[in-house]
Amino acid sequence: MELCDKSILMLRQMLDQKEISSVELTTYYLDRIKEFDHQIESYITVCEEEALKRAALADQRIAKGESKSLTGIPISIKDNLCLEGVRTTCGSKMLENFIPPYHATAAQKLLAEDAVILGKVSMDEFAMGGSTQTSYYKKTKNPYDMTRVPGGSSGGSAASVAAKLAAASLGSDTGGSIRQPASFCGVTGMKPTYGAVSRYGLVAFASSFDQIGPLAHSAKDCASILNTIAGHDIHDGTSAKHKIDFEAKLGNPIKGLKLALPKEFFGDGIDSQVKEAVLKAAAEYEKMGAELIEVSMPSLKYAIAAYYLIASAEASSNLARYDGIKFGYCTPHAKTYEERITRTRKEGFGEEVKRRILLGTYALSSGYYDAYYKKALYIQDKIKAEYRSIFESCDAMITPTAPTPAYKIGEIEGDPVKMYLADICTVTVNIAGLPAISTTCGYDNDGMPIGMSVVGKAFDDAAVIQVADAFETNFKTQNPRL
Amino acid sequence: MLDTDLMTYLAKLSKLEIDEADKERLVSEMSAIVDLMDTMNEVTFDECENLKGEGVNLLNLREDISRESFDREKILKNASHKKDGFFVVPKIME
Repeated sequence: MELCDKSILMLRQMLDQKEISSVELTTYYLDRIKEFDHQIESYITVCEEEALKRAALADQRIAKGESKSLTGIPISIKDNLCLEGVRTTCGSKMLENFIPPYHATAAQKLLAEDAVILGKVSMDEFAMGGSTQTSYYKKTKNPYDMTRVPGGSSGGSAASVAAKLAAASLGSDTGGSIRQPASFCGVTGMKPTYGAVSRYGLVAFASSFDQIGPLAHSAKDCASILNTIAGHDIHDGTSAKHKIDFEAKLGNPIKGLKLALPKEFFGDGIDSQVKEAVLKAAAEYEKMGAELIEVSMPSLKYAIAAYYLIASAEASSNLARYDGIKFGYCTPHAKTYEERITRTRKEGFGEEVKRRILLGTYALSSGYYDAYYKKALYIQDKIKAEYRSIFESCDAMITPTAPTPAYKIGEIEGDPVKMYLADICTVTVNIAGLPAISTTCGYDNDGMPIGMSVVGKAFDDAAVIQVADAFETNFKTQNPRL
Repeated sequence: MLDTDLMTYLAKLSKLEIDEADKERLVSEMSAIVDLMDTMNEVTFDECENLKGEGVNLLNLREDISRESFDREKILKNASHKKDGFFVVPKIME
């Protein structure tokens, strides 16, 4: 096994037993980035100097026997998480020169353990997209096939982990932005329960859905990262006081668990190879002693509409802050105050971001509010109620993560409606604020990874990790050939 | 029904300058998206009368106590136009 194939837990042991230093490990990853990232294009900013400084600090800490779970582990972070003194672009021209004056809480928690942040990775502009092709900077490729998308919006995170250009990554998930790229790139990605991780310092998109989470080589690694970054934070009014031990159920038996299979997630719109792989994985759980129960989520057909309505409404409000005055891009072509704002926004935002702002404004404007926004909130309640009913009799739910494996670059990104519909398997989890993890459960005929999602009850993140880990233990993954 | 007049109005509300030449294209793209949103019309409010539809609850807000804030100079570093500790904008009143 090569060094880059090792899990965080294995690297932890190697570092603590002084088989390797963090400076050596960090240099190894920085060399891999130099060798491979010109093809993958996952990093927007590589923090070489700072990473090596942090690695040296980690080595001192390890020498004192004071290491924590992520001390000295090289990690990439999505470029919508603020890192003091390091440019944070959110994939947008609007933030081309933005240098945050503070760390995001999740990043601060990594640094407090002397984890090594290798750099900031690419994403769809303002996290609005599922392909990482709307990034103003790096249009990241899928390490399994460079002609395909890595998914998105955390495509840089997923590709950097799949190509072994980081041991793990932090991403964010508003409608599937961690799980779908994890699925496309053959890695494990988890969106924890809404409120589990503070979003302070995460560039806001749709605040009632946004969550930060890890992408890594395994569910165990995700649990380890979540135990570091989760917790209540006074800087985020939605962060929960509920304490979660993400590793609490690792290794617990699957026997006796009731796993829900919602029939609407296995319908006509789902690729036959995806369906087959996920059902085969479900059968593995049955062999482990779980009981599979067919359930129904009738409101799934309204989920995309409700999700895009609420997310766009919140985005139109959140993105009002980009006015060319306080921070971010400012047009040089304006004489009046009004021109300064409207032209800055015209020149600074990309097409998809503008569409969502306009849609959100439409939904919230007088005369349309009840028909759209209020209706979407009612559908949100219906979906929550349907999940509650499923989890009255089941412990977790199994679904495909995406309707298809990774598609070719340029295939559907130009069609917003097709792009939105591709999120059908992930958005209900955000709508209901639940924890969900995507793990690889197979490969299609072209060798592209297929992801399966495990969804759980709110704050029962440990069960979701337990179920994903049980499958991973007996599943052999295939590495991309770089 | 979306048309260029409504697009002009939405652009104004959104503080987005949009070229005349782009309006027709935006109307067509947005109309397809709004058609997708209209699938929600099948759901009637009576069906969900016991549901509140209130969105997120903010249960964990901190106490409203003043705390040390950011250093003004540090915050102003990201502004393109500034002077004497303030943001500078084009003249608003003649």
